[in-house]
Amino acid sequence: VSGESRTSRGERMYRRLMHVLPERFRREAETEMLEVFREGRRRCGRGLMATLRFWAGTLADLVMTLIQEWWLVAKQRRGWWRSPSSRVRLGNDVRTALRELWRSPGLSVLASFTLGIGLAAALLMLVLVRDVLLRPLPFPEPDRLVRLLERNEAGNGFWPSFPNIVDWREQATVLEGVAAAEVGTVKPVLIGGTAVGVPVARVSRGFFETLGIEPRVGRGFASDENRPGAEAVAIISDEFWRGDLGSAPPADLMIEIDRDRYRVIGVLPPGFRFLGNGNAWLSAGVWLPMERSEDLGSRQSHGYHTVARLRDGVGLESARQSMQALAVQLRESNHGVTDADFIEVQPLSRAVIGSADAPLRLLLIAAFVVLMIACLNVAAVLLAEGLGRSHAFAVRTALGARRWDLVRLQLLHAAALAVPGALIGIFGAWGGLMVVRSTWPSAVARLDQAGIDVSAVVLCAGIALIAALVAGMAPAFALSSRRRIADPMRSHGSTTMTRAHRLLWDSFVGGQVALTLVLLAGSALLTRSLLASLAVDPGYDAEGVTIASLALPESRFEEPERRVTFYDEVLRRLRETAGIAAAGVISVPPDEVYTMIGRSGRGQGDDRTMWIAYRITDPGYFETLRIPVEAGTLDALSNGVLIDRNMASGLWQPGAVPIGERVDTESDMTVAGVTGSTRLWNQQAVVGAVYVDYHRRPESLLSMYVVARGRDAGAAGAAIRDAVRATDPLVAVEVRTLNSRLRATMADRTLMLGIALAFAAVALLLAIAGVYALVSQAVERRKRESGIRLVLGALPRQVRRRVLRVGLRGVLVGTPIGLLAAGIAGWMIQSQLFQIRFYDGFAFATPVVVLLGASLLAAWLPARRATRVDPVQLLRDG
Amino acid sequence: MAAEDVLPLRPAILAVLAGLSAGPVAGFTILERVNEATPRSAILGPGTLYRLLREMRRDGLIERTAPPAGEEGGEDERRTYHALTTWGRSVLRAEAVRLERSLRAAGLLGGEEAGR
Repeated sequence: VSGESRTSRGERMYRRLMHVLPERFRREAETEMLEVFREGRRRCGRGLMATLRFWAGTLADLVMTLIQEWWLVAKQRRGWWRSPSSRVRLGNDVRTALRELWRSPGLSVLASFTLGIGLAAALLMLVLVRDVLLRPLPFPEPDRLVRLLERNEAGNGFWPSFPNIVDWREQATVLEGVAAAEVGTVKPVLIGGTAVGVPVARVSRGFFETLGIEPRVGRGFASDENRPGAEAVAIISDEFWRGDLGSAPPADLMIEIDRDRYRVIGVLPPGFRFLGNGNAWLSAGVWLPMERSEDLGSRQSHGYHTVARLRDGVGLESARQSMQALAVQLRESNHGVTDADFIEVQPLSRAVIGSADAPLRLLLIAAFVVLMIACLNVAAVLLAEGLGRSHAFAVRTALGARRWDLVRLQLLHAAALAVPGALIGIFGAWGGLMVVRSTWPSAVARLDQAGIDVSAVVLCAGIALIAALVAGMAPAFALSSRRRIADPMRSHGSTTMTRAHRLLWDSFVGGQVALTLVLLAGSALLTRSLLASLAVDPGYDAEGVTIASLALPESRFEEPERRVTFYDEVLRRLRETAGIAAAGVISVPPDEVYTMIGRSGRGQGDDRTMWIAYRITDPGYFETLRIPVEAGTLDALSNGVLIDRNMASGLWQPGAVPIGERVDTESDMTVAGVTGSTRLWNQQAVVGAVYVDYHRRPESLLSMYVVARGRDAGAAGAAIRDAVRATDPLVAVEVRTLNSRLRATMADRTLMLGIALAFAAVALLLAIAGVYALVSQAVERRKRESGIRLVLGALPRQVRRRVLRVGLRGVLVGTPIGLLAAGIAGWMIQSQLFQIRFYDGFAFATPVVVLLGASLLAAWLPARRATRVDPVQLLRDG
Repeated sequence: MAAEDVLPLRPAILAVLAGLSAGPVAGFTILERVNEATPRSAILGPGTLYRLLREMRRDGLIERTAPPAGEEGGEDERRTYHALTTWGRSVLRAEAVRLERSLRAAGLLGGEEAGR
C-alpha cells in the first residue's frame, strides 16, 4: 500500500472533522496533525476493537483540542468579542437558533428525546465495554498474568487438579509463579461469640505474590504457614475488616471457622477480587492457606482456579508451546491418571471476561445502530420543521443572507439539541446501568465496577455534538439550496416539497426501517435461541425442588462413619417433615457436569472409554428430581452402581442394558441399573454419569448437596435448614431453589438478550415515530390539496391512500435492504446461537410483519385526518 | 536566564526532552515515548501533541528539523522531525541533575558509585 499517495477514508474523515477547530490553528497545525494521525492509524491495528479504540482516542483528542483552542481564541480576541458587529452576529445566530427551538417546542422536545435515547444506548454499551472488557485487571503488569486449564483429547476443558498444579509450579520454566485458589463458599465465621456468614476461600503458596498483591495492613502468608500442621492464620478482605470487624487492629483478631481458631495476620487492599464460580469476580472475606490440609485431591479431581505469571519477556505463544511440551512430558510420567492431555494458557483477563466478550462487542455495534436510527429520526424532524419555516429562509435570502449563513444557522439549531440530548443520554445510560446491575448482578464479571464517570460524561457530550451535527447536516444543506428558497416566495408561503426533499425524507425513513429490521431480526434470533435452549429436556424436573449446599467442618467429622450417620439423620428428619414429598443427597448438582469428572471404561481389558461425571447419591435423589429409572431398581444402588443412558449407549450400544457388567478397572463397580440422562441446558458434549451410594463413599462426604421436593419452595428450604440444625448446628447450609440455580447459569445470556430486546424495542418505537411524523407532516402540507380533491369529488379513500403512500414509500424500500443487512448480521452472530440457523424463517418473518404492521398503523392514524378537512374553511383561509 | 530557573519541568515536557535527547524524532514517536514515560499525561492524540510541541517551540526548547539522514521516506512518508535546541539540552541536563539530587537526598540513590 505504501508508495501510493492515496488518502484513506479515515484520513479524509479526520481532515473534515478538523474543521471544528479554529481556522488559524487548523491551517498551522493540519500537516503535522495529519502526519501523527496517519502514523497512529497505521500502528493501531486492523481489528474492529482496535479501530474503535483508535477513533475514540482521536475524537477525545479533537474535543480536548477544540475546547482549549477556542478558549484561547476567545481570550485572545476579547477585543473582537466585544466588537459590536461580531458579537451581534454571533449573538443573533444563537438567539435565532434558540428562538426557533422554542417556537416549536414539541418538535424540539421530540428531537432531544430521540437523540437522548440513542445516546443513552451508545453510552451504556461504551461504559460496559470499557469497564468490563477493556479495563486492565487491577494487578501490577496484568498482561503477564495467565490462567492454566487442563484439556483432554476430546476438547473438554477442566479446572486443574492440585497435584498437576504442583508439577507445573515445580517444572514450568516460562512461569514465575503458579498458584491455586478455591472458589469461596459462605461459612459461619465466629467473631468473639457471634457468627457471621462470610465467603471463605483457600489459596495455595505464592498466590498473592503471583498476583503482585501485598496486604495493606500486616503481612501475607509465610511459606511455612502453608503446610500441614502449621499455625492457623488467616488474611481478611478490607471490606470484612471494616464492616464486621470494625477495623480492629489485626494483631488482636481471632476468628473461628469450623471450630478452628485462626489468627488474622493481614488485611488485603480494598476491592481485591479474584475469579469465582462461573462469571463472578469473587471477593471472599476470609482467605486461608490451602496447603494446611493434607488431602487436596487426586490428579483427576478438578476443583481449583490457577493463576500464573509469565516470566518477564515471555510471550503468550512461547509460553503455550513450552507448557505443551511440559504436558507431553507429564502425561508420560503420570500415565493414565491425568486428564491434562493439553495445558491451556489463557490470559487472566480473558478468563475474567469469559464468554461475555463477543456478545458485548455485538451489543456495542447494536447500540450505535440505535444511535444511527436516532440521528436519522432527528434529521427527519429537522427537515420537517425547516420546511415549515421555508418562508423565513426566503425572507433571509432576500435580505442578503448567503447560503453559508443559512447552513450555519441550521447547524446551530441542531447543535442546540445536543445539550438536552446529552443530558437525557447520560441519565438514560445511568438508569440503564442501574437496571442491568440490579437485575443481573453477577452475569458478567466486574459489572459492579461499571459506572458513569467524568470521562463518560465528556465522551457523551462529544458524541452528542457529533451526532447532532451529523443529523443536522443533510437537512441544513437541503433547506438552504437556492432553488428551494426561491419557491415559497412565489407560492406565497405555502409549503411544497421538492423532489430532492422527498427523496431525502424517504431515505431517512427507509434507513430507519432497514436498521430497525436488523435489530429486530437479531433479537428475534437471540430469543429463539434462548427458547430453544430452555426447551431442551434436561432429563429431570427442577420445578419445586430446593437444593442446599452443606459443608461439614472437617474437625468435627474426622471419622468418615460420622459423615454417613449425619446424612442418614438429616434425610430421616426431612422425610418425616410434613409437606416434604421426597429428599435425597447428591455430590454434584445436576446443572454442574464438569466437576468430579474422569475417564472411565468397561472393565476387563476393553479399552473403550468415555467422560463420566461421578455422582455420590442415594435413591431419594432420583425420586426428588424425578429422574426415570430405565432398567433395574433404585434399591439396587446398595449393591452396585447406576449408570445413565449416555454411558450405557457410549460404552456398550444404544439401548443396551448392561446390568451385571463392570465399569472401571480399578474399583469394583458393577452396573445394577440404568437411569435417564441429565444434561445442562446448553451442554452439547455427551458426558456419562455413574451414581454411587453415599454409604459406600464415606470419605468424600464433606461437602454435599441435599435436595428436597416440597409443596412450596420456601417450606422445603426451611425444612432442610431445620433438619440440618437439629442434627448438627455447626454445619453451614446455603439454600436456594434449583430453578434459581439454573437461571443463574443463564444470567449472561438473559442479560445480553435483555439489552438486545430493549434496543430493538427502542428502534421500533423510533422508526414508527418517524413514519408517524412523516405522514402527519404530509397531511398538514397537503391539507389544501386534499381539500380541493374532496371538493372536486375524490373519494375520502382515495385521498387517504395518496397520503398513506407518502408514508409507506420509505418503509417499502427500507424493508428489503433491512432484510439483506439482517441476514448478514445474523450470519455474524451465528456462533452465539443455540440450535437455530441464522436464516431462521420465523426470526425474519416476525420482525417484518411487526414492522410493516406497526408502520401501517402509524401511517393510518394521521392519514385519517386528511379527509377531515373542511373544504369551505380551507378555501376561505387559502 | 539560567536553565535552573525553569525547573521543575512538567512530566510531559521532561518526557519529550528525554525522548529527543538521542537525536531528531518524528511526531508519532514522540507521542509514544511520552505516553510510555508518563501514562497519565493528557497527550491523547495529534491535537494535544501539537499543542505541547508548539508550547515547547515557543519556549525555545525544541525546533523543527530535517529528517536524519537515511530516514527520509517516499512522498507518502513525509514527516516533521523535532530536535533539541542547545537551550533545551541544557534545561534537560539541569532537570536531570535536580532529579538526581532529590533522589540522593531521599536516600534512594547510593553513594558515589551510583553517580555520574
